[in-house]
Amino acid sequence: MADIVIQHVWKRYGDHEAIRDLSLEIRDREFFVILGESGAGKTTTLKMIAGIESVTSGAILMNGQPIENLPPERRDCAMVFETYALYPHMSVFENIAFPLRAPGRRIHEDQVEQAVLRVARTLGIDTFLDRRPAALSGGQRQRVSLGRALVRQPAVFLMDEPLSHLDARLRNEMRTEIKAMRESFGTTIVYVTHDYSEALALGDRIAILHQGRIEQVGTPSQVFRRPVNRLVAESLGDPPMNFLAGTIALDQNQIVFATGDDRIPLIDNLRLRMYAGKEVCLGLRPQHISLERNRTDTPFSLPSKVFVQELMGDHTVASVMVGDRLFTVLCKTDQVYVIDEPLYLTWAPEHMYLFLEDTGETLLAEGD
Amino acid sequence: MAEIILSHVSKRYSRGHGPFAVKDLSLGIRDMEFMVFLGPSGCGKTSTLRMIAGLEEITDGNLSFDDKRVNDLPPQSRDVAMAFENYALYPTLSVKDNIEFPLKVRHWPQSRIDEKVAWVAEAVQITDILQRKPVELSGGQQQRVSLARAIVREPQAFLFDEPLSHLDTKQRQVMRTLIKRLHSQLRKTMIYVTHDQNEAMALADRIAIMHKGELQQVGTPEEILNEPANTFVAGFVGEPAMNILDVDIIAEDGRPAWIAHAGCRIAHLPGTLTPAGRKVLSAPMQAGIRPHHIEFSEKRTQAADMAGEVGIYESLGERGVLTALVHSQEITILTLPDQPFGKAQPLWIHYPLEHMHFFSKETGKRLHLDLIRRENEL
Repeated sequence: MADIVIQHVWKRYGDHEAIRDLSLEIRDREFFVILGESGAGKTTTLKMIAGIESVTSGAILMNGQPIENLPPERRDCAMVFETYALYPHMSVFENIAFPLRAPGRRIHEDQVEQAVLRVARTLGIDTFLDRRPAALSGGQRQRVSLGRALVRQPAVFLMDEPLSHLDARLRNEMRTEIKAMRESFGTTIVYVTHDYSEALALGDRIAILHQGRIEQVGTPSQVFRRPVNRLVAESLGDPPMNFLAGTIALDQNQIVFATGDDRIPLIDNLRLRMYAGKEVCLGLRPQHISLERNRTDTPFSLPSKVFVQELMGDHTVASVMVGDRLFTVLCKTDQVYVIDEPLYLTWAPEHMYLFLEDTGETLLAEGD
Repeated sequence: MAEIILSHVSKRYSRGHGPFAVKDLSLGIRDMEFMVFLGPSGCGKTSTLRMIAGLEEITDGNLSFDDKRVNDLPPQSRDVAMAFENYALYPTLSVKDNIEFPLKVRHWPQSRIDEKVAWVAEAVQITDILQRKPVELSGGQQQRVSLARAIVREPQAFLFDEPLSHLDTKQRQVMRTLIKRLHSQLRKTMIYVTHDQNEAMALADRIAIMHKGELQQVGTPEEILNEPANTFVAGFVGEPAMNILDVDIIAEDGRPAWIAHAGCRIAHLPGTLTPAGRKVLSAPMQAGIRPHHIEFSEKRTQAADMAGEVGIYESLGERGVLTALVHSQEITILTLPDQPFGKAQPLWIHYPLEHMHFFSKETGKRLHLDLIRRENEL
């Protein structure tokens, strides 16, 4: 049982501001994901919760009690790292039992055994408790290291990119397993990753961190479909969203997105009218664009030229030049184009995003 | 022109006494082809590339370029370029001077050099940084410059050893497109090593899949996906991975009629089998079906009549991945995103026979469905 409240936390290393005025509320038993590129400050945040890093200013509360000055061992958090850090000379059983056998804990051996077996069964590693880490696969080792963190039954479970060094196949498998196991954890989980699909799959809510600042906190669907700014939109999706620069203009009293000689109609609302004349950029996801050889009736269309096409077996990825920007478009296998072939991009208006050029703020998102 | 043929090539380290890094590999790479070697780490793909480059000795077998045996030819005489081998740019020279260097050594006239460098710079999109020094470049830019330097030499073939593995996702995507476009512009043989199936699919004319030093299958991305030669290929390529289950052929009135998993039927087998056909199918078999080919419905229908239940559902933005329990086995199904699946919600599932793959359980090798059909008709 633990909720965590982070209030106006700053972290400075000399002149470098690693975390800038971070405030978050993580709910009891929530699976909370912090998503960001390397250097965004995600691991620093996790370490400040764990007590491995101090906060420069601000407060961290657990169940309403300030903990930012408590030593790590009094915070009731367990941390799982990217690397497994298992003791090579100990068996799987001994590795998992290690935190319980720590001097001062004085837990009866019967209870240690019970606790280890319970955790091992949850993680599906009870059949090789007598093996050494060297005899295990990467995924198995990761499970043992999860087991060692879980066995203490911490109130908060902190996970720092636990899957990042596994290969793609194993990463997907472990992701599904973590999702399946999380109910039996019964703890609050704070999970750090740079992988957006991991974040969407696992998180009850996701915080997107960029250069030490929070850009948005929301459910997976909120951050994916209604990103608050261009940065959030860009960090979720693979291939990422395509962007094209232009301006909001009034064309015969119709509000349009103007780029080169092209005019794309926009929904007429007061907000967009307010921004007439402003530099903006249009955002379209690769799976929401279709390619046509001839100009069609839809006003939601732009001319382009094929740069290259990649045939992926069950689909293809076309890269096309739109103005001076390269757009990625997902196509079917029977759509085959030649290099430099002229094509028209079209899309449904509900899939159009619009961002302010200078601040990146979202003006138009899916469903508007 | 460069056609590269490997004939029964093996590689053993420790002076030929170690275990096989590459075992009896025979493979023809066509002139102007983009061939990708794909496999997990330790599968022998890099050893094979390095033998082609001349950086590793060939323990056994023949390597030929355009019908000429090159086993004993030193690397510099093979006229192949290891692109991005390292960045190794001359720090005191500008980008332009770095690219020109191989041509100056060959005493090209400056006017021809300028023309060539301008074309290459355009092709790898570095025209705007030609006057800079290497230290002023990002990792991605340095890579483009070193690629440009390889291109100006006009080698017969380009070899790439996981060139994009240390770039971030965005740069990787950009470089991938650039390499693909370059291939169609230069019309040279390219061999590219990677463990990333997406990269392989995106770039390759054909893919050679390796595992434990042995070639598993060579084919176009489509062939590899649609007709995997064995369970290794079936499981390695495709994301999420193909579902693979043990199956039996169940007889009705003495005639094989159903494909069953754990005693429950999963697909109807049209027609009957000859004794020969039965013999093939009487050995233990496995069936494979890809996550996007599985059909499901919340209500029982004529087609979807297999009972299952929702295990875990992951909504991933553009798509959803459902892990369902069917006959107590976990099955991965690709779905739309944001579906309101409840835990343990019942589902009715259908595996379309035309999308099922069959493999021998013993050897892992593909059993051809058309064989089953042909036998059926008799």
